[in-house]
Amino acid sequence: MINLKNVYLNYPNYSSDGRYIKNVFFNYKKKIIKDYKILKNINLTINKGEKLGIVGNNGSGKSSLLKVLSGLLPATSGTVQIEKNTLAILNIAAGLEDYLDAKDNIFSLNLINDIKPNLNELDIQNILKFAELEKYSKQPLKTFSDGMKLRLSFSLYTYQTPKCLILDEWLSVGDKNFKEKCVKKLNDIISSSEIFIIASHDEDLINRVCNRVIRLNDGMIEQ
Amino acid sequence: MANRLFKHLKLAIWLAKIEIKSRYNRTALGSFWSSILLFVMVITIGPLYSIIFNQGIEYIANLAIGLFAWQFIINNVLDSSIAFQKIENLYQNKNIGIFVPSFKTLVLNIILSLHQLLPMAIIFFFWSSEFYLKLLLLLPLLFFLSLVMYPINLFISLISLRFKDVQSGLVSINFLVFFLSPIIWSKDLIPVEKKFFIQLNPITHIMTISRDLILNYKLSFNSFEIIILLTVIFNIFLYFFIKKIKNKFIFWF
Repeated sequence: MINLKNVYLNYPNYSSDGRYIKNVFFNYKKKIIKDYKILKNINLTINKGEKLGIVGNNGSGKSSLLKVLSGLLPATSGTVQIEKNTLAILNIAAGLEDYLDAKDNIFSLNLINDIKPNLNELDIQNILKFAELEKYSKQPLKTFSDGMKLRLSFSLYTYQTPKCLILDEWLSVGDKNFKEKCVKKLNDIISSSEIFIIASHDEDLINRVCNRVIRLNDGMIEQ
Repeated sequence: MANRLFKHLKLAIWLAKIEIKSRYNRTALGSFWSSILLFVMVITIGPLYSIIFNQGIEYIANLAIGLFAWQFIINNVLDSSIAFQKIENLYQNKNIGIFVPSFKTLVLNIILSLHQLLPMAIIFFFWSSEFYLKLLLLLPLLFFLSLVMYPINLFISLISLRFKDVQSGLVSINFLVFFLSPIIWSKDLIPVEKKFFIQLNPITHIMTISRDLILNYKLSFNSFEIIILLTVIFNIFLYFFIKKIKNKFIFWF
C-alpha cells in the first residue's frame, strides 16, 4: 500500500546566483527567494490491485508526484509511506553509457536500479534476446541507434515484475513489431504487479489501462 | 541497513571500474598511465632536487613516498569535487544515496594507487633497501589514507554539488598546497624555531606518518594522534552536516 498524507513538496529556488559561494557570505538576504510550491496538500492512498492514472496539464505536478511516490524526492512536509519493491521508470534512457557494451550496460543499469539481485549470464542472454540484440552484445553502445538503446533499456526494466511499477508516460520503443511486443510485455507486467501508477497526457490510454484516475491541477488533486 | 550498505558498496565499486574504463578508453597502457607520471617525476626531479637540497640518495625514496601519498590525497579531493556531477543521470530513476559518489571516488583512487605499486617497487629496488617490506607497508598506508580521505571526499562532493565555486577553487589551490607542504622537500630543512608554522598544515603530518612508516618502519605517534584527532572532529561535524542536508542534496542537481 502507498499512502500520502498532507504531503507538500517545495522545490528550493536556487537561482543561478545562489549557486555561488560568495553570495552565501555577501548577499545572503538576496539569495533567499521563495521556494516553488510543487505539490500542495496531497492525500492519496493506493491499495493493492489499483492501477492509478495521473492526468493533468504540463506543470501540474504529475512527474513530481511520481518522484515522491517512488522515493526519489523527499516531501517537504506530510507523511509518505511507499512500497519498498518499487520500480520507477521516469527516464528510460538514464544511466546508459556509450562506451560500455550492451552486456555491461545491462549489468550497470540492473545494479543502479536494483531490478534483479544476482543477475546471471542466462538473465543477460534473455534480456538481449527480448531486445533482439544478441548479436550486438559485445558492441559499445555508441554504435547503437537510439531505438536499439531504448530496446535494451526496456528489455531490462521489464525483465522482472516489481510489486509497484511507476511510469512517466507509456513506454513504447522500437519499430512496429517491437512496439507490439512492448505493449504485450507491459500489459503482462501491469496485470501481475500489485500496484501500477502512470502519469500521462493521453487520457484514452489512462482509461484503457487504469482502474482509477486522479487529475492534478496546480499541484493539487482535483476532487 | 547492512543489505543497503552492501548494495551501495557494490554499486560504488562498479562505478569506479567503469570510470577507469572510460578514462583510459582506447589507450594502450590503460590505467598504468597514472603510475607513469609518478615514476617520471621521481626519476627526473629526484636526482636534481637531491643536489639542490643537498641530500643523499635516500631523497629519491622520500620523494616517491611523498608523491604517492600526495597524488592519492589530491586526486581524491579533485575527483570528489565532480563526483555527483559525473553520475548525475543515475539519480533520474532512483535515489542511489548520498554516499555512493564519494565512495566511488575513493575506490577509483585506491585502484589507481595500487597501479603505482609497480613504479614504487622499481624505485625502492634501485634507490632503497628491503623493497619487499617497503612495498608491503604501502598497503596499510593506503588503508590509513583512505580512512582519512573518505569523510573529506563526502564533504567535498556535497559542497561542490551545492556551490559551483568549490571545484574551481580546489583546482586553483592545489598547486599552492603542493608547494607549501613537505612533499618534494623535507620538513627537516626548516629551522627548529620556524617548524611550528609547517606543523599547522595537516599534510605535513600525513607526510611524516607516510615516510616514517615506509622508510623507518615506525609510527610517528605525535603526527598520528593529530591526524586521528582531526579526523574524529571532522567526522562529528560531518555527522551533523549530513543530518541537516540529507533530504536537501537531491534538489542541488
